[in-house]
Amino acid sequence: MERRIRKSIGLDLKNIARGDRGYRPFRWKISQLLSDTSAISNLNSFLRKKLLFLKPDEAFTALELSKKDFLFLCQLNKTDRSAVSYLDLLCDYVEYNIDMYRDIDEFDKLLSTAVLSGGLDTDIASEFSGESRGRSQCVFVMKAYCALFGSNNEDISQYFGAGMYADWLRQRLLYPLSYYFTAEPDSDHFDFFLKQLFADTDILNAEREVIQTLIDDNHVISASASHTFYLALLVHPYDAVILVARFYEAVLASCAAPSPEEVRLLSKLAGTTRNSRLNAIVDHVSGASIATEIDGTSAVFSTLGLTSETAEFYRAVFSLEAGSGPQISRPLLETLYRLRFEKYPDIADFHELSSWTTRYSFSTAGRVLRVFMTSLYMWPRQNLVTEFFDLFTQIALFGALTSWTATSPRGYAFLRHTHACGRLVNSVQEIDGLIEKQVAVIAATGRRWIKVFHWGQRRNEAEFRFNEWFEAIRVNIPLFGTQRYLSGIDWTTLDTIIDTYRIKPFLKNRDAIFVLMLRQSEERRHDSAILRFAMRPWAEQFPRVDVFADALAVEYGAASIVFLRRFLTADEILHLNLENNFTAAISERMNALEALVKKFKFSEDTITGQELEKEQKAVISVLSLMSVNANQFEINWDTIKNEALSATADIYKAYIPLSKKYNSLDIISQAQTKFSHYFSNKQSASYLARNNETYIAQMAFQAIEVFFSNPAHGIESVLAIRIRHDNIRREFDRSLEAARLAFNLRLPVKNAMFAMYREVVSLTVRDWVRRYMHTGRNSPETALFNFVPSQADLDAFIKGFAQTNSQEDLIDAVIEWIRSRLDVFLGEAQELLSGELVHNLKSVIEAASADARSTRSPSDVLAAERVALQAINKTAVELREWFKSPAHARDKSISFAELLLAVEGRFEQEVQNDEIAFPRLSQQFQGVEVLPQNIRNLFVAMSELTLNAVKYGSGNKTRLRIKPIKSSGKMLVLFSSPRRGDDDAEWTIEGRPSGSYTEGIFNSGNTGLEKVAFLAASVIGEPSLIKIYKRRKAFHILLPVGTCA
Amino acid sequence: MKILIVEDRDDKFEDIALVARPSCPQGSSFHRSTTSVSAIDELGRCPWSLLLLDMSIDIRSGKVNVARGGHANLGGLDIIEYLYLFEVSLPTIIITGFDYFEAARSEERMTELVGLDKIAATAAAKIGKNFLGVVRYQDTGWRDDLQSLIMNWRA
Repeated sequence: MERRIRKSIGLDLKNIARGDRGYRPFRWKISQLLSDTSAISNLNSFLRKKLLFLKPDEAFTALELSKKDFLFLCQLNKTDRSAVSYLDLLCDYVEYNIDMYRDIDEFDKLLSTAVLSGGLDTDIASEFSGESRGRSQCVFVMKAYCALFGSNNEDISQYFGAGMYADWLRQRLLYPLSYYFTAEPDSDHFDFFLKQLFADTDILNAEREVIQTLIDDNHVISASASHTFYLALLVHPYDAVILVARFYEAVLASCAAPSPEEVRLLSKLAGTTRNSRLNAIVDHVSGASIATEIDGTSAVFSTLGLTSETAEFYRAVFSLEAGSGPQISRPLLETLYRLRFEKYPDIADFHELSSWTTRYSFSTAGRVLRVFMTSLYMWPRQNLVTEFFDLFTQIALFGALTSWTATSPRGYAFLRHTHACGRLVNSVQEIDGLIEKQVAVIAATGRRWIKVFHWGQRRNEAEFRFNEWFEAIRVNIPLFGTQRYLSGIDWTTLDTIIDTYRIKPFLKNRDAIFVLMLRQSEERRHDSAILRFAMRPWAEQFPRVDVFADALAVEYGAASIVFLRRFLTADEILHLNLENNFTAAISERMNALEALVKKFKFSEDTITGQELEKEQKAVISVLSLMSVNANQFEINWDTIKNEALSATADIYKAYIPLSKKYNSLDIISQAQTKFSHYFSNKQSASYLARNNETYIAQMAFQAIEVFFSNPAHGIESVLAIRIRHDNIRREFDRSLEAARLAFNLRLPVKNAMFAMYREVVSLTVRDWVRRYMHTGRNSPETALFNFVPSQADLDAFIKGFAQTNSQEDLIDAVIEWIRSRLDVFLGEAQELLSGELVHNLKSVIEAASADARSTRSPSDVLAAERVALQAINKTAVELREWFKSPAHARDKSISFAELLLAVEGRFEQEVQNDEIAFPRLSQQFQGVEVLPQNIRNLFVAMSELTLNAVKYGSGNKTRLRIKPIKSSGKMLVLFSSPRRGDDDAEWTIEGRPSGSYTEGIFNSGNTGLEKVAFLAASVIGEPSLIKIYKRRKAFHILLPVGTCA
Repeated sequence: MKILIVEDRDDKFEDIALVARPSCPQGSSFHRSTTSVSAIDELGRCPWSLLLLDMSIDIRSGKVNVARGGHANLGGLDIIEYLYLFEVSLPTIIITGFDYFEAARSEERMTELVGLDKIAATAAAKIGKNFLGVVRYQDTGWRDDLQSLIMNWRA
């Protein structure tokens, strides 16, 4: 019976092969037949050729994929059945179409020679003119075209418009392909981008995996063998070979091994193609011994048509011993030279080479450049599989295991692994000794210093000698403000130390703290808990942030500036007990940072003048918001627009060339498609649009995402921080408390009644907030702030965009839509506040009062109820102001009263401790505005005067007096405070304005009053005097603060 | 038994203490920290039997303002991190009024929303079985949830 079934399967396959239609139309049927392993072996070579040969006179179309293929791919990924049979078919597929393979192999050599020679000669362009149908179907060729001409929209439109591509390729692959060569993303970024395009279902995941595998050659294939080979049979034979090579390189990188049958087939394929990658794989799995060489070899370079000078250049570049090499004046080679032979990479060079590497990653040249970047620790460290993948690439390219390879990321582990695989003639110890000897005489010049450093740390890391490791890092790796190059440290080592020993190695260890800071700076991390806890015992020895900053300066020198910038934020200062309120933390942090800059000067390594100015502006922005309680939805729409433009720039650039028509036909298909979008607030919606319009939709969604997620102006941030976190309840609570204090009733009765009111009011307000103050993630039916566009909204965006094809117009339209919706929602919120919330609050207060009447005097209860309701109504009226979004952003001027409130906030603790009392400002201050550029000057000046008042105060509570004086067109403030002593004196201090705040701070004197004089001069923009009057028991200081009519 | 409740809201603190008390042994004492800084101080000062932890808390006591600095959206997780790093073995229940929180993303200038499931997973990864669970402080059910978590732990 079984034999009969097998015979029938064999017959089916033979019949398919005998037909003239080849493999592709029958691939699903064949997939089922392949479950019988003998099905292939029963086919003779004639039938195999009939099945797999691509006839030159017939149209070959690659990647004719459909939903059914992705279903199959899903299954094959899960079951990985028939992998060997598929590989068998692939060997034949390549063999019968070897000319097609060789054509592209030659093209790769031509292209790679041109790239590695440092320039792209015009004869490359001719490779695309009059290309054969078969060649145009090759993904390698498509990528080559995009790499060469991706910056020219017209060229891309014409090329892809003219090609006869499969529908799937037009509909699904072209746009990500265009995006890849526009944005040049790394693998993680590209994965994130694709996940946004392909929502999370099994079939779409399979499609995403196919697209990522086809486009991103740096993506380490993790799909199953049969999945990969099924796909390989649907692409050009050259692409098929590369897919097989990439698959087995990933297998070897994960320290797994192919089966003997797979090895046999791989050997066959390697023999057919003479592909160096396949040869390297076969050599490895068969345990062929590998040469170990101290100096770099250049197996790959001898196969390319490089000049001897260029080949010599690469020999020097990849030689650990070389301190210099031939200098060739071609742009790419100059960049490579600087990155290799200068100690610290220049950021522009780094970006340029990263761009070349990503753009040509599909070619041999791209692999050489990638190896250059990874082996010099230019990119963030990766997991073992990815780094072993790169090391295998080095061996395939160089044809030997060199000291360059051994000193690359995970090189030492790879050396041991290669030895364990039986490929090394010498022992690990012998090779280790040879490299050690070589490294010992190498001067730490050029970028190779980092290879030498990491080689030197291999034992510290392996043996967990973390104190030595911390110390070595601190001595060798500088901490820069803008981490211009990566340290090359594998931070998982640090994670392992933390996981094993927790906080202990970091306490009282300044080297360890340095290493934590280095990581924080390098990875732009926000979760700084371990650094904070490690630093806390140290920081607690200091009373204020400026004093602690001095200690950091003694310990770390100019790098202390980086600690201030990247770690000691205002929040961290509070965590570390270095200041006692947020205003103090933010202003004192800035003062401490300026003091450090004054000490160490500006530097590209720590902070530039421009960066300091940015920090200062941020402080001003916070200070100007300190006292504002209204307009919680005040949103800087310019910021949202700029960020939305930036977030959609690459999508737009990738879309434009594909949005055109070629010979009246759309390049991307216009078929209607249904798609879903998952917003970052976890809402989702489904839409219908033409295929080419889905990318316009993506741009619109991205703009909405910016509005969701901007930390300062995003709706989620506004709702979570300003509204939901208890603030509305606190306002009602505060108002009830104020009413209780002001209300004249017997204390026990009053306290009991108001405790009851506060409780019911709290519950009611909380319910109301929970019900409405959301964007709709959890309770879409009641959420007020729903910014998920409807189908009609999306249609309007698309229609508007079609008129101008302008990215900015689209973003403007989306922002206008957001603003108009926000206005509607805020209006509804005001209505709900005055209506439903007040009604509910009234009801619960009346119900509570009714309960109280049974135990308390009705007249007392009535009186309390009336006062409570008045307080509630008053607060509700005030809170309506919260739900406003001003049409125009404030010009950031603040009133003098608001400025003084910010200063009072700076001294919050002292005010609470009854050490200082700030005055209520007189009516004369009404209308006195502080311009944006003067906010910080006056804030610091007033803070200095307050500190002065406390320092020389009478010892009792320092009551400040502030009086405005207008004189000769100038606005002055008389700042008075009590003092000890009876003597009289008067003097003046002159201040001169400076070009910038920083310049002024650096040049002003060291006393508080000298600083105040400079600040006052800066405010009025001309040299000015502050007058100090020392009188009996009082100081009076007359300070110019502006001009007046 | 000494129980530390980290909670900045008076009414919520009272609610939690009221609900937790019957599930705890007689004579248990309840203490309160209202900020992240004071909670860390308390944890370092003496041993505790149980921690009832709010997630979104002020760093220090101080004025609330629009800029809203000085507030840790995921301050509760910092405290969990403290328990992990200082190897403080302390059974902990997170009690929060919100079911998602804003958190800084690794890229600059962007935020992401972190749900309770992710918070629970992070807490469990850090303090293992000492993490007893999350209670969503809301109209219904939270009292039973809190009591059953405490009772299960005591059992």
